[in-house]
Amino acid sequence: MENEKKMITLKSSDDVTFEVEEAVVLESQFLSHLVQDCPAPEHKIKEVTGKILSKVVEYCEKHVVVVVDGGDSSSSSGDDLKKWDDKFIKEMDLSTVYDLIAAANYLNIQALLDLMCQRVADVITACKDHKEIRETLGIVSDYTAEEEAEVLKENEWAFD
Amino acid sequence: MTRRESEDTGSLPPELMGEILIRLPAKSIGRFRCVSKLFRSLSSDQRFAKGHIDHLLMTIRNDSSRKLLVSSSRNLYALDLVSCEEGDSDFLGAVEHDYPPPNLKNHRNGFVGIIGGSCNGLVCISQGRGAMLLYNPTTREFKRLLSSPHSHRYDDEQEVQAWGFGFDDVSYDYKVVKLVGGHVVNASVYSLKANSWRRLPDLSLSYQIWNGYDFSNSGVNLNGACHWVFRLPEGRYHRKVLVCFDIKTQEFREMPLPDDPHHFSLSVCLHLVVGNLNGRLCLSVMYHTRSLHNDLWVMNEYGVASSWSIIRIGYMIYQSIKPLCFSEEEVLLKLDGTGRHMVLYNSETNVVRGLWIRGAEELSHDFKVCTYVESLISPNLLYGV
Repeated sequence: MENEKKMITLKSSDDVTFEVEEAVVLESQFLSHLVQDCPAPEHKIKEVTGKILSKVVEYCEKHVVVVVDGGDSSSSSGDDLKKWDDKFIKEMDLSTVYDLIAAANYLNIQALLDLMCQRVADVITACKDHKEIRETLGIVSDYTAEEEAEVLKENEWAFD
Repeated sequence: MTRRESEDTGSLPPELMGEILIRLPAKSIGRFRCVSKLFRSLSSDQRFAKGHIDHLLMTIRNDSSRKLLVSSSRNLYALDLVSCEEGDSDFLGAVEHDYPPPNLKNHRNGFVGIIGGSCNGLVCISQGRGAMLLYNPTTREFKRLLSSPHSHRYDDEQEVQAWGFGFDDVSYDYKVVKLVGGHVVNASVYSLKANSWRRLPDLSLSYQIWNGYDFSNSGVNLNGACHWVFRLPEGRYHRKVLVCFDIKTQEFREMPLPDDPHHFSLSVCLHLVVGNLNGRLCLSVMYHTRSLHNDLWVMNEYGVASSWSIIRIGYMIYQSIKPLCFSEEEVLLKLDGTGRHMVLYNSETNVVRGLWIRGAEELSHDFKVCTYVESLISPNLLYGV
């Protein structure tokens, strides 16, 4: 078979392995370079856990297929992809989102980084005030009462 | 990244938190600053503000993320276009701003600020007699500029003037251009960085700024340049020209008009007004064939003459119009003359409907309006200085 797809094995920090097509790996700038520079059959990614790497692989597999299929730009494939993205992030908890942001940044997958950052941005945008942001992101304020009054006064315009 | 910092942002290093922050609307960032000291320090400097506006301008797909600033009598109103898309109300909710700003004492009663242009969320307002303001309607921050050079021969409300405002991304400087008409147009440029005015050589062509209608004098900022329609006397008519001023090179040049004698012949074309629709240069033309018609032209590729395309207006408006922005499939227009409200024109249904501001049903006859984006850019703290 001439067109047999080249497979690559990725191994997470906790030794979970994923066998993926080369095209999937090329979604990541970091992995593209790694595969080119080092033609080993298996690549260990020490910075990413199996749980997160499985999400990354899932995302890249979905996106690589659609790009190839939708080469002659049927608009539905773009819409379908958007729906898939929405579903992909919908039930993810914040700590998974954070881990995926860090992984997408490390592996240099811009579209995934954009998607995840926008997700957190949307969550923050929906908060009506700083207290709600603290609650949502699980942050403890380090302002004294005076400092908080001052910063609130300074940013009064943001609360109308 | 230290462990401590990482814990402060939940579990994300601060540099990645920055990736999230630039995606927030300006007001959410204001609220975010009140969450913790680290969050405040991540989002408070002008370097961040510039990154934020750059990201916003890069990702804006249409006019619906723009806001409107209306000056009427002694008041300024900020309004949201989204509110006119929801339901079929003809009244827009607006936030009234303190105007003039509290510590500008010598403001003259009843003088409506002339909006000279907007760029990166800053709006340039002329208050007459050379007094000028830069205002960020989002953060409510303003700066009073050094008075502009003005002629002492006339009271400057009698003098024919035009304004432009834009950002020079090479020298990282905001510039105001002031044009004073007559037979020769005098041009001066103010640099925010240098905090000074500089006179430019007089325009060689005999352009005339024309105050024939009230919106001819604020320049439309697009693609690093300000745009106006001027006129050139030619026989018994005036040829209309679309002139642009490059903020970087500080040079004037003419932009090509659509190649359509039906609209643009000297005897047919009465008024030409420039605007910005969804980030594209736009012209409204009022022309006279058997009766008065208005049409809109949109330049789809900036600077390319063959890229002009027409939006026909079937409705008889009988006035010169300024296109302000697109709202869904409707175009928001300001009418020339005594109109005390704005109108929305729907090109699908060919219907024009009036649009009023709730709480300010009657705007002053000389009200002004511009669009702006919500930014954190401070007129007082210029990044890179």
